[in-house]
Amino acid sequence: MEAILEVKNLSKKYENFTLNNISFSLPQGMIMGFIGENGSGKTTTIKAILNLIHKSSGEIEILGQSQDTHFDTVQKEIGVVLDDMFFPEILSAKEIDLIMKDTYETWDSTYFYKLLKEFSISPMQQIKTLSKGMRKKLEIITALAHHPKLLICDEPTNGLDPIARDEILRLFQEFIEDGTHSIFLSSHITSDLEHIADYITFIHQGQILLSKTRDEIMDKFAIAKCSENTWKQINQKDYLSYKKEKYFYEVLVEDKKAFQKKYNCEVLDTITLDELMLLMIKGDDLKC
Amino acid sequence: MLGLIKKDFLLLKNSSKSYLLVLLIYLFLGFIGEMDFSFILPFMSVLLMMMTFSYDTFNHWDSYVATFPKGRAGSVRAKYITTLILILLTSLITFFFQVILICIKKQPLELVLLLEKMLGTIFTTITILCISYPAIYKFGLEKARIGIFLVVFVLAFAVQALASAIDLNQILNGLAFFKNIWVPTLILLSLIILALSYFISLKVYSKKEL
Amino acid sequence: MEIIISNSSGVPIYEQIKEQIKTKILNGELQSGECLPSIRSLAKDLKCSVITTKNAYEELQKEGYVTTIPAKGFYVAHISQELLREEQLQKIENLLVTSILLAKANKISKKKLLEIIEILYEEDE
Repeated sequence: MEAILEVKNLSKKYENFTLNNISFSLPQGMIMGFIGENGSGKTTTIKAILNLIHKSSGEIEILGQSQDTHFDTVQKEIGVVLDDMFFPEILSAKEIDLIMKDTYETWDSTYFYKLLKEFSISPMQQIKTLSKGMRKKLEIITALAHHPKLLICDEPTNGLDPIARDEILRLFQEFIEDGTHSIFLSSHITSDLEHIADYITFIHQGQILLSKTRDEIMDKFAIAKCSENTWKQINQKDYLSYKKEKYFYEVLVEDKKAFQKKYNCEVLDTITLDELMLLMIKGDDLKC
Repeated sequence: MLGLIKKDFLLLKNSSKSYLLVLLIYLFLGFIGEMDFSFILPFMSVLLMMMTFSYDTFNHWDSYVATFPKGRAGSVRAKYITTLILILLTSLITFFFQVILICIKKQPLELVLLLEKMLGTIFTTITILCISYPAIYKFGLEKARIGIFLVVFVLAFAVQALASAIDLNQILNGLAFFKNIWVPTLILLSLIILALSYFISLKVYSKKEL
Repeated sequence: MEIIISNSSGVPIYEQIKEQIKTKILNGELQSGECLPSIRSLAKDLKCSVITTKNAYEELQKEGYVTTIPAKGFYVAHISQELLREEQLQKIENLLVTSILLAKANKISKKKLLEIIEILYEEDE
């Protein structure tokens, strides 16, 4: 499977923050969830991919083309949903259609209006009068209406109620259904990603802590909770990170089955992405 | 790029109430008074275009449009073209309005003088555009505003001082041939500073981190 | 066809899908040669990752329950009697292992265990 988005050793230096050697790869037809806490570098990475900021070093390839030389040709294949970056809010959906018609060759007015209707967004209404959820949906619809091959989203479901989030995730899954479209989305609503993401990339303080398939994480990683006695028996090589709590030890384990065979921990649970994030960020003795 | 031109016109249309008010005031003043307000409409159009910059910044439109195909260059080009269209349109409207006014008031119609005034207005507003836009692209509207205001003020003052200090007609009479070609010279000058300003804006904007 | 996934059972989702489809094939709900939903449409309808459904289908293919025709999709394989018997024997073995472990832990002899099996076998008939 060809990679639709390939980031190699991307670095960006700011005064107070550095994006350091970011590398990951998104194959075609897949959804990659990009997780990390606020300020970890998610938005910076996305801006670098979109050439909104200039990278200090590294290579980015989109649809097989280098961003340095062929970005102009691939731009029309990218649909973008950024946090709080959109059309001036005194414009309406109808006016967006008028503007985009002459901006993207592949703009599909029929599809745009169909989606507007599906989500009950009035074409004549000014953006500023829409609710937050409607506005986000409009941003996503706008990104989809020119039939891009790659959708890049920065926190697309941020601040939305569960119903709106569900509708949007459904849209995303429909988008990738035919196997030729892909999505790269950053989010800190990890429960969304646990369901639909094929790949998860975890960034923390400007560095990639892990980039694996969702199944590898959800099926193989685990959280073991055990007493101090059990903890003392665990070999350092068999865990990624741990945290000493008041009444127990929490251990992040990379290979559930192997760990289960070797140790008799009181509790060995399937992990959630939230717990993964917490243990990797706040845990002691992290090895990656 | 056509889409981006549309965008600014749509923005102006949606916020045109203040513009209409000024237009009405202008029409009224022109009708009852003797003073020359022929610069107001074209000047307003540049100010309104600056307002579109303000809308753009507020909604982080700059970042969004940079993701469009040829977004950055298209955005700059569209801004310049839209502003020029507006300046020309408002100058023409002003011109025709003045002709009508003169006919109503039964005053002597000096077409050439009127045309010269229109050209002068166009040139002045284009100059303001050429100074302002690269500044706005480089420093953002807020910071650029003060600078532009100062520059325009100083320029206006300088021109005024120059005009009163030197008897322009005397000089022009001395340079008879120049009198004939000052129109094409002005047009050429306009094009040159426009091109300069445009390329500076493009360069600044393409490097900007959004 | 109904497939019901639990997100909190601790069993990997691809395994749940695999087992449920396997069961349906074994009990005849899914017939030989029947076309299965595509990897992507299944992922969409079960609201899970495409890689998960792909894994499930690949495992089913490995175990011989499902075949694939390139560019056409996945089909229920012709289930041989042998395969069915294999499956059942495996199940019985697993159950017996549980019993044997329990017996050993409670110091119940092999002889006693075999006696119990004899009696129970006769009983059901």
